[in-house]
Amino acid sequence: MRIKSITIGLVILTCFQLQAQDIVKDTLLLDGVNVFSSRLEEYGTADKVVELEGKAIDFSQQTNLSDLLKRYSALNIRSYGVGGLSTVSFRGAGSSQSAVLWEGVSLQSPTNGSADLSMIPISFIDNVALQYGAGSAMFGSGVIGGSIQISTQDQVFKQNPFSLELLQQVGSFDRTYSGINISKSNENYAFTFRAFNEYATNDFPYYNRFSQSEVTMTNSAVHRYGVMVEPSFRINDQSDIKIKYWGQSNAVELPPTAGQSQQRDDKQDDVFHRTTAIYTRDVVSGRLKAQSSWLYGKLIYNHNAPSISNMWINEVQSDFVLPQTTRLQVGINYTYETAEVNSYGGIAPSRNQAALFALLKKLFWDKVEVAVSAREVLVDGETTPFVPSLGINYQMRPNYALKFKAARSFRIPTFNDLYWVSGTDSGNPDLRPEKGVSLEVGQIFELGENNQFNVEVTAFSNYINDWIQWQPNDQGNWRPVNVVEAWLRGVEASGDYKVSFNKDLGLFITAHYTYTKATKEKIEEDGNEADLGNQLIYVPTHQGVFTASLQYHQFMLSVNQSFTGNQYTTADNNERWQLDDYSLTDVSVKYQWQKGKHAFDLAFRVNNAWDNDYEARSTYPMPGRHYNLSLNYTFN
Amino acid sequence: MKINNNPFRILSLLLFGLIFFTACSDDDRVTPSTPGEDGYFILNEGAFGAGNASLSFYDKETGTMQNDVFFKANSRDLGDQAQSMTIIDSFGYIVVQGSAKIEVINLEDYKTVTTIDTEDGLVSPRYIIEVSDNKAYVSDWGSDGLTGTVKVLDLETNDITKSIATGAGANTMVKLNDRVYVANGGGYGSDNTISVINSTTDELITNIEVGDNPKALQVDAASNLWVAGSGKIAYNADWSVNLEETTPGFLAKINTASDQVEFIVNMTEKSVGPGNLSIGPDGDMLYFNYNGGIYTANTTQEASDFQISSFIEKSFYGFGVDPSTGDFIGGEAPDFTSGGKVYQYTESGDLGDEYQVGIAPNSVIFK
Repeated sequence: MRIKSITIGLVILTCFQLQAQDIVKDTLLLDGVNVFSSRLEEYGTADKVVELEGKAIDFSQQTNLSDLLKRYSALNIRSYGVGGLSTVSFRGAGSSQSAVLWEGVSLQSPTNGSADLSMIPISFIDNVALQYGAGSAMFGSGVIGGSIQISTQDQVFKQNPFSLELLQQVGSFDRTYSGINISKSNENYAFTFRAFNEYATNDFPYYNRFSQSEVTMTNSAVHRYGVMVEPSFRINDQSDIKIKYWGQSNAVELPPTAGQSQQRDDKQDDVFHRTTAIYTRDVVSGRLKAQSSWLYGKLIYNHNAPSISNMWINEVQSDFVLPQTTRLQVGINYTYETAEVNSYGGIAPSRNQAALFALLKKLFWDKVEVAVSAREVLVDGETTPFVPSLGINYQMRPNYALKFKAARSFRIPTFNDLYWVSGTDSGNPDLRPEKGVSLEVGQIFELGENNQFNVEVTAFSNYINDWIQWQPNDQGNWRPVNVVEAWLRGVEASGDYKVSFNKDLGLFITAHYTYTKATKEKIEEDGNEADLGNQLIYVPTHQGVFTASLQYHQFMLSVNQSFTGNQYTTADNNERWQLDDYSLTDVSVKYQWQKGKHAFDLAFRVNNAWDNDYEARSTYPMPGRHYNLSLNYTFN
Repeated sequence: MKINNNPFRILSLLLFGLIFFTACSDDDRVTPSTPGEDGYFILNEGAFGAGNASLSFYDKETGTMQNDVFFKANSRDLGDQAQSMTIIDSFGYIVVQGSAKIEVINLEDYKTVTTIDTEDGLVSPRYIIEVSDNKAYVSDWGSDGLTGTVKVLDLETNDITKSIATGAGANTMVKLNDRVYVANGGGYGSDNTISVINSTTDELITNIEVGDNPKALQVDAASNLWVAGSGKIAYNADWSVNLEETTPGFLAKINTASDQVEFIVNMTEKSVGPGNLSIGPDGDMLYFNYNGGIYTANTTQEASDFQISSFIEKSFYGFGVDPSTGDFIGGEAPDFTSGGKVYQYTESGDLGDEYQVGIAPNSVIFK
């Protein structure tokens, strides 16, 4: 996170003088420049990518990635209560079809396929990029709807004796968040240490619609803490090695839903250790990169035997800068996964994934960039769908670009899908991978004298086959089957606007809107014909966020408004059970103060200012109006 | 979905919740009319955790299915996972397992008269039957789904006065003379017994061993107790069903004079029922779910050459036989995320009308 809040302030101040360049990232190839960035930046030529940084986004006032995305993306964040599981759905796809990648490594659990955004603390992430649409050719299994790419600042080998950042938040419902980030570096070595501790009882009052009374949320405390250590070494002018370790403990109580017996005392303990080591070596006209990662997860539900998963991910890739504005990346990936889960009935499944991928891009006539990529993954020797992708970015005019992308995507079944057994419910070893075919067209406009108004509009269509769903059979025994065929399509619009009235006063506005139609396209044998063409459950048709920040001297006033439309909770789209739309307004004021190497940043925020009653997931109540105070100190 | 363990534990709860309807089949109360003459309730269980249980009523006079009558009368949802409903006098006792409560409604206007809940001592209630003018029994799974009990409810004060330990997954109950039989259906584990309780002293008399996971009970015209059990499913390492280890579903006949098992008829196909049992108006025909359909068996048969016959080739989540007409009413739950359907069949199995109902219709309660 480094000096995020200060930089944001400075960025906002300085941006008024600068040419706006947030949305249109000039990805076009510059001949002869030998700089390598992430795979997404390099080859996501026609992908819609939103980077959550450098705008009016204040990381230091958030707790975790889930908070951040709820306020600043129009993504569908599925939150099971305030401290519970929080996952993302891109463009109407399922949560397990929308990946979270940390330093390029997928954090989707091999057992249940989900990645909990509430377990990603805000002070452990510096960069967040949202990649919309099919991304299996770039990132492998599970990127059908899109992906969230998180990372820390890239380590640079330069003299920096010591820098420090402290973050302290306090808020309603006994919430505290404390974070410390320390970094130092010299020409040959860089080191960063981060730690955080978060606690909340979350005993907020709410109106229980079942008992029709004001009650207090029970059994909903969370306690999370963790460390992240990043040592990096420069081996010589051409090569370096960067190591990252992230360990975290998450103790979460599972509150009863509004309709359930209020005497629930379930809890869950999640511990993980994640390590990755990245070696890069620059060679003539290219770069070699090797990365090895190990992800360990242990989950204990109540006092049951722990569920343990291990993933060992190895990737080697070569980048080539070829003549005539052409770039190529080829690579191999080998991943080994195992799990020990009590409900797998005594067997510990494991599997091997071996993948070969290639990405190529070329610039034509200085204005048309074409990227082609493909990946093939073998799972224990069995082929999975071949996933090619084609992206074209046509920079028609300096202030107008047209993008087109066509891609296939897939997701392999989770271990739970394959091996679960409980009572008469059981996994299905015969499951096939889910697969998607997507098309999208995007346009980017830059308007205004200084291009201070940016708009990106994207239309997408994604057809998914063999979507895995658990359902009861004739005997009422639940089993997962490759049953759903769904068509996800819609329109997204994003806009930024910046203006400076004078050197002390500026305004920044950012907004995202999403329209999603996600329908069931085929009814299985003996299925309910009436469900055909119905909207998938928990996919709002309309969703939007809007943030306006006004900066005056060292003060900043921000208003964040989000809207989530009605969501059906039943496949027959019965309005009786629909989750009502809700809109939330947060208001914050911030004061920034800097003296020499010391910078302070004090912010106060009112969340859900209108005290609206709402549920983000049916029967999981969310808190009304509540408050947050944060103090951020940096020494640099 | 909750992380990992949770959802499938929930699914298993749904699964074990194969339901049947136990009317107050005892005759120690004089009823002016035969149940079913006015119509019948359909209890829609809803999806676990979703809080979308509801109550429907089929009015025979108007020939209409009225859905969501509890919500319309009370302006609030019924709750989470409605397991069963029993009519006692002029009240309907709706046992809502997930919400750990019993909603007592007036049968005329469906308005709640009182609610019995965790403060009164319920934990995970399944079924309720009347045992005397001022006393009822409530079967309860307990918080772990293994330590089942029968709770003694004072119908005047709505206090639980006693808790009687029975077996895992205490499920349906029937009363015969001064004894109450409780099917210990397994809950989250498994069991193979029927508990017998003296309903005067509220003491456990004995446990009768039958087959694995007895779920449902009926008393025939000759006062024999019939038990339907689903058997226990075992799996191979690759999660195919291990047919060697899997025990079959069964029908058992118990002589209630001696409380001895007369015979057990094991089903030939494993892991496909029965778990749900009804009896015809004459008390001599059993209806049960088995192998994806509804089967019947005559209660006057002997163990040797015991015959079952296919009645309807369709699977139902819950069903009941109308005591006033002999019609078969079946509730279909296509999945737990859409409304269900009710099919009316004549006594001879001819399909009549169909009606849309709420989510997961699990039982038919005749009024």
